[in-house]
Parts: sequence; C-alpha cells; structure tokens
Amino acid sequence: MARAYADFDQFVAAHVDDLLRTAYLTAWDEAEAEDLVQECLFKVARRWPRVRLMDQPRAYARRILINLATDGARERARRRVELDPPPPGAAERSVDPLAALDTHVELVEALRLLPPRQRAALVLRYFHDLTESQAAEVLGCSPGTVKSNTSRGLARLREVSDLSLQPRSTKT
Amino acid sequence: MSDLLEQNLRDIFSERATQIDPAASARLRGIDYRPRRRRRPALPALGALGVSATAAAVVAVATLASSAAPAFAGWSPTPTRPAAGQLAAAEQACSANRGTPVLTDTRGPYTASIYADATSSHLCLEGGSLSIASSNSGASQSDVPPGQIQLAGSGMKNSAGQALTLVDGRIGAGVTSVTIDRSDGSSIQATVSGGWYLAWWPGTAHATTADVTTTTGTATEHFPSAPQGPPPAGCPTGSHCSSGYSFGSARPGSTQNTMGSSRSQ
Repeated sequence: MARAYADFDQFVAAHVDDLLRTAYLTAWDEAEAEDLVQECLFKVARRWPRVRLMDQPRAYARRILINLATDGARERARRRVELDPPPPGAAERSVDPLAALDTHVELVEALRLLPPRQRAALVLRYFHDLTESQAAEVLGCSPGTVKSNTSRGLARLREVSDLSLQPRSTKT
Repeated sequence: MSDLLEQNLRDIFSERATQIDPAASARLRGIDYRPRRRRRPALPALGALGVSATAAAVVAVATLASSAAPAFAGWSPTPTRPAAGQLAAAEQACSANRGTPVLTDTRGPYTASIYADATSSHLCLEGGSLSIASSNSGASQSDVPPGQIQLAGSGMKNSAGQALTLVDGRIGAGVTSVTIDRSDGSSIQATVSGGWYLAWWPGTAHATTADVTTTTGTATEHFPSAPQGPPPAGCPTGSHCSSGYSFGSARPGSTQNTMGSSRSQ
C-alpha cells in the first residue's frame, strides 16, 4: 500500500493550488473551495492506485472537484446558512447603487449568480484555456453541452455588461 | 463586444485567483489524505462503546492511538466553530455517507457527529489521533418525555492512559440546552441539535448531573453511577488497545451498566 501511494504526495504538492483556484472560481467561496479540494483529494486518494496510472490524473481530479462543486452546491449552501448566517447588511451590499456603476463589479456579481455548471464551463474555457473537448472531458459531458453552457453563461454576462455600459438614466 | 467580454472574464478570473489565502494551500498540503486502515475488534468486546444512550451496539470501531502527546490538545469544554474543512474531513474520515448528521459537535480540532433515523444511530468522533465510530439501535425521540433527556455515557482508556468520557442521547421536546456537571466539579456545555445532545471530555471524570433547560426553566437530572475502579484489564502496554465501559439507560428510569475491553492489535 505504501508503494502505491509513494507519488501521491507529489501529486498533491504539484496540483493543490490549481485545484484550489478551480474550486474557488467554480464555487465562488473560499471556505467552500477549501472544503471541496479536501473532499476531492480524499476521493482521489482512495482511488490513487488506479488514478496514478491514468494519462491525466489532474483532469480526473478536476472532474471530481467540479462534480462536487456543482452537484452539492445547493446542499452546501443550505448547511452554510445554518452554520454561518450572513452578517447584517450582507444582502444590501449586492444592490449597492455605487457598485452598479462599475461594469467589472457587475460582471463579478453576475458570475457569482450563474448556475455552477455554467460557471464551471467558463472557468475551464477562460481561466484554464481548455478547448471545448478538453472541458467536456473534465466535466464528463459532450462538447456540445460545454458549448451550450458556455454560451448561456456568456449571454447572461453580456446582458449585464451591455446594461452597465448604457447611461445610468436608462437603467431605471 | 464578445472579445471584450471574454477578455474581461479572463481578467476577473485571474484577479480573483490571486485572492486566495495562501494559508488555505498550506492547510490542504498538510492533510494526510491516504485511506486509513481500520481494524475491527471483536464485536462483544467493544459493544459497550456504542452510542451510549442506546441499548444494542451493532458495530463499534475505536482507535485511540497510544503515541499521541499531549492527549487531546486543543480540546474545548464549550463547543467551538468548525475550522474550514473540518466538517468535511470528519465526514470523510467517518466514511459515513449517511447524509447530513443530526448533530455535529466541534471542540477545537475534534468533531463528533451523530447520524440518526427513527430507530438507529451512528456516532463518529474524529480529530488528532482520535477515531471512534459506532452504530446502534435504540430509543426514538418519542420515548423521551418532554423536557427530559436520555441519561447515558461511556468511557474508554488506552494503554498509554489517554482516556475520554462521552455522554449523548436523544432529548425530549422543548429541550433547548444541556449542561453536564462532572465528578470533578467542573461543567461541560453539550451541543443540542436535531433531537440529540452530546458532550465529551478528556479524562475519566464521569457525568453526575445534567442541567436541562427548556423554555419554562432548568431542571436537574442525575446520571446513573459510572463503574468505579480501574479500567478493565487486558490491555498490555505498547499495544494499540482500548478498554471501556458504558453507563446509562435506553429509556430514562432504567439502568444498564456494562464494561468491556478490546485489543485491536
């Protein structure tokens, strides 16, 4: 068993930051990202004797990570609310009228509100610069599904972007 | 427009990726993710170490490493907020896959979780060198009168002298908090959640009374006496071995005292 895990520590050292960034950008929450990476690495470790023989162990780990991030997003959000209620005024911050003038801020907020699967597709395409086929492999879906999730995500962001570029008086 | 949007998107992702706390990476690197090998002792021997408020232990696995020093570093007499990743790590170590626990009690780096349905329960206590898991069948919440709690506990000690005592059980309707008074005169705040309470502490001091608070006031209930004297024999120094006892009852009013010891290696 020890021999089978000899290179697992190297895998963690080499890829934990990449996984953490992917988790953070997909889940959009730092504490949740850390939880996700931890859970992901536990799962990878359990299957490491097989995973280490794969051509792309990192792609496999990313796939587990994104599945965790997208499949369990609703349940984790519920638990997080129970454990850590938002501070007073947190809800109001999202509609700060000053922030609304800033396209960048609005895009960030729009990204946060995207369905996790769409955000994951955007992260893989525009942060990791994967092709649709490569992203599909990570997401465990067809390239067409990646294309459609990317397209829908971009469309939503474009709406926000176009809106914020208009004169403020036309937004109301 | 699309190119500009895509460039904005790349910039946002890149900028945000730099905001991650470097300590998170360090924490993740410091975890041992390798699967643990668990040795399952003979069922009759550790039967007494099940979730203490229940009558029949189905499976109990306990590991209290003898090499850890100091024992239970970071433990807290009052429940603490879980650190980032702590609950997920406990769930993983527990290999529970039983859904959401009805109760989670965190005291420093230690996490106790109870998974329960109407007729059975599963307890995990993880953290540091500590790893305890047990499954039981027992009383349902309807067995516990309103405003009362099941009074039960268990204790264990390994060959290195590290010991812990744990009390837990179902609560009756209306119970909002439980404080455990111990034989050494100190008190422990229990976690109350999902129809259960739980508290545990290092050492052999046993629970004497429980101050049970409801919306109408606080009442004191008395625990049955814990077995006195040294822990059971059969635990040679240097072996990975634990011994234990349980006390209490499946239903308030009746008493069950059992003792047992087990050697896992």
